[in-house]
Amino acid sequence: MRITSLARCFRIFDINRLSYCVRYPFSSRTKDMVKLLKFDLESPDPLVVERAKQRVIDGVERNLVEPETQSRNDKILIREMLAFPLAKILASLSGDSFVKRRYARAEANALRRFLEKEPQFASQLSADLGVPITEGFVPFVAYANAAPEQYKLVNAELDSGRVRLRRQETLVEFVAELFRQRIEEDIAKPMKVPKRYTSIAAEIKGEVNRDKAYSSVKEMNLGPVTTSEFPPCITALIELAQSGAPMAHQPRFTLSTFLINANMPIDPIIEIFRPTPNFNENKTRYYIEYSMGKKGSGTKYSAPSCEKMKFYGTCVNPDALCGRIKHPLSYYIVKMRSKKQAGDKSGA
Amino acid sequence: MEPSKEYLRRKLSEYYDKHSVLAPPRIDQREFGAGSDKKIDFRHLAFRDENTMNTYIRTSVPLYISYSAGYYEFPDKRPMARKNWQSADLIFDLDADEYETSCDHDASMVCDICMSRVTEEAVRLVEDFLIPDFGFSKGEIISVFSGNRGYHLHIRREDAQQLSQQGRKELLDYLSSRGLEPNALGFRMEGHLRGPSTAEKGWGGKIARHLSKLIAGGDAKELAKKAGVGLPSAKRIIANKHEVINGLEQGHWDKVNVRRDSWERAFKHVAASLSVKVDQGVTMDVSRLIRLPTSIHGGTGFVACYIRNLGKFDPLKDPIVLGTSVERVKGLKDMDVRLGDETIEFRAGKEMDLPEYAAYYGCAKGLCVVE
Repeated sequence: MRITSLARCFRIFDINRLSYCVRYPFSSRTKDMVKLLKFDLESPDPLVVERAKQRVIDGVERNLVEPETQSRNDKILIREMLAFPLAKILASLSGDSFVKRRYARAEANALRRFLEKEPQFASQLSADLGVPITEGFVPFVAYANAAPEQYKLVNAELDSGRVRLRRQETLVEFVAELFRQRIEEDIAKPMKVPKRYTSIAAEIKGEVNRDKAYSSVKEMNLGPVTTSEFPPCITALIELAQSGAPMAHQPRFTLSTFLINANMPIDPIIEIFRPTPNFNENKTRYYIEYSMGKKGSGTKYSAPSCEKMKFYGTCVNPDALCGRIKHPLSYYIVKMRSKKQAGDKSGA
Repeated sequence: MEPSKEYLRRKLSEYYDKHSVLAPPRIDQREFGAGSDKKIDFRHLAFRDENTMNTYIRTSVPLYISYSAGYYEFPDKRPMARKNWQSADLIFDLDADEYETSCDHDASMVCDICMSRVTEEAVRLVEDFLIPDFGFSKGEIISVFSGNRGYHLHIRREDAQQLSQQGRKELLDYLSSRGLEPNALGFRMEGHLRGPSTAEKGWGGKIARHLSKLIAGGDAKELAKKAGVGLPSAKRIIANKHEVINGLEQGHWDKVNVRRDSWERAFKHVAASLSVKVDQGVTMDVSRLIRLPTSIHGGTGFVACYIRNLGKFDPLKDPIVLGTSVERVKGLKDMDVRLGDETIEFRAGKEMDLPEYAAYYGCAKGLCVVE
């Protein structure tokens, strides 16, 4: 390929640098490099276009963009690096707010995973995104505009208009949110690009499987129910039930609907409730079958969302993942997915 | 038009003939609204400068005139999307009827009790939050009387104009302490209970300092009430008050036998008492139209004036701008109203001679009619 051989001549593309650029596609270093490559939108490398398209589809369907960063082949890395700006163009041209939103979120998730392993880059990347961090402080306006739910301004060390980012995970989360918002802004603007991309974007819109994005636990075939991957709120409710303390209707409903929707069979659910005061096996079974839609009106109840949990005061000990999801079941799905992936990798 | 409304507009017309309304900064990027039947009958108005704005006011004499907190490329285009919104001032709206007070008049009226309550809240917003926490200077916080029963604080610093709606919500949550989490503020077990110290920035330190002050007061009943802890706990705290206060300075919350959840309850209770209440909708809405400073509020005849010192402002005296020539009115309701240095006693059916500003106020509030 012409560009790469040219680049090789000048010895500018060190593999490690390239990998950094792939991991952090918005960094000023990456931008300089992309500029140097003079990517031609009129006659693009079809492999880059294909990769860009896949990146959007994966982002929307699986909330996962998985950039290729491990390769020692500079051609592959360059292709991946160029796929990012093109993927943004495609997401924008799709004109579909669902596609745009999901894609931006997936890119931010990828960034978060990289940064969690190498938080030392977070400060520089924040500056690259337009928010310089001086001695651990960030202006409150920038913080408030990108405050993740679990690091709300109200819980921040705010003084004289600056927020102190004391913990590394706060900084990482902050940069990920900045990145997500930046992508959303970028792809909200109309773009002037050659016509061919409009038809590729239309293909994405047509191909993307919306149901996959919403897939429930059942369809995902996550295997046996793994209570260790439950969100903190549900773990707390199980502990409450096991402690033999009296349980009000709302916590009872939350716990049973969650377990039903996580595909736990009916008998183990009954066992969880056994230590509660005035436990009655038949009543409990009826109640669970009722919630499953097997008795009564036939309505299958879904578990309450995080918002409702907060309203009822059953949201407790939220952790970093809680800030990124809106439903306790999503928490479980995310955990099970990454567990499954880890398992697949080690198995292979 | 009803006769009294005609009277009100005649009075405002006389006023605006002699006085000009000041243009807000970047007037050509603001949307204006005006109304006489409602607060806003027309919006999407735009003026290129102060002169054209005053010409409009003098010719159409609206009872209410408002302008946008937002800046637009095309402020007169519609629908809203075509205006091309650029940014917006940060606005806080405090209104007397939002607070619980001992006064018993209906919501359309005000009195010294409810006005001093809202003034106090505005002063706390400025001095306990906007200056120390958010780092705005006194000069950057522009206080304006709403013209009726509250205040508008306008902040036009460039960075604050860049706050998104989400950012404004975060700011409101900070002021109301919504979402405050003791754990996130440093409550933890490290062998002993640790938490925020009095030197801490943000809510953690605010609460620790306030608790420390309550404890130093030495009154267990008072502590129990104001910190929301049980009386036995409060008594134990007071009995060991020096150790507890010294502990709080270091962020050590274990100097007395009080359970963690009691401390956390106290923490939230104190936060609620220290937070301030503002109208959330006004701050969140970046396309909001808000009373134009230095224009007259048609429902009172008071001017929506800039305020130099909030704490010393008298909202029933300082904004009086209409004249003192005598008008004969007939009372419609029984009501005593302080205006300026005197109390006007409106009585149903009774005829009175009132200075113009009081006659206007009475007519606008439905307490009297002009003969």
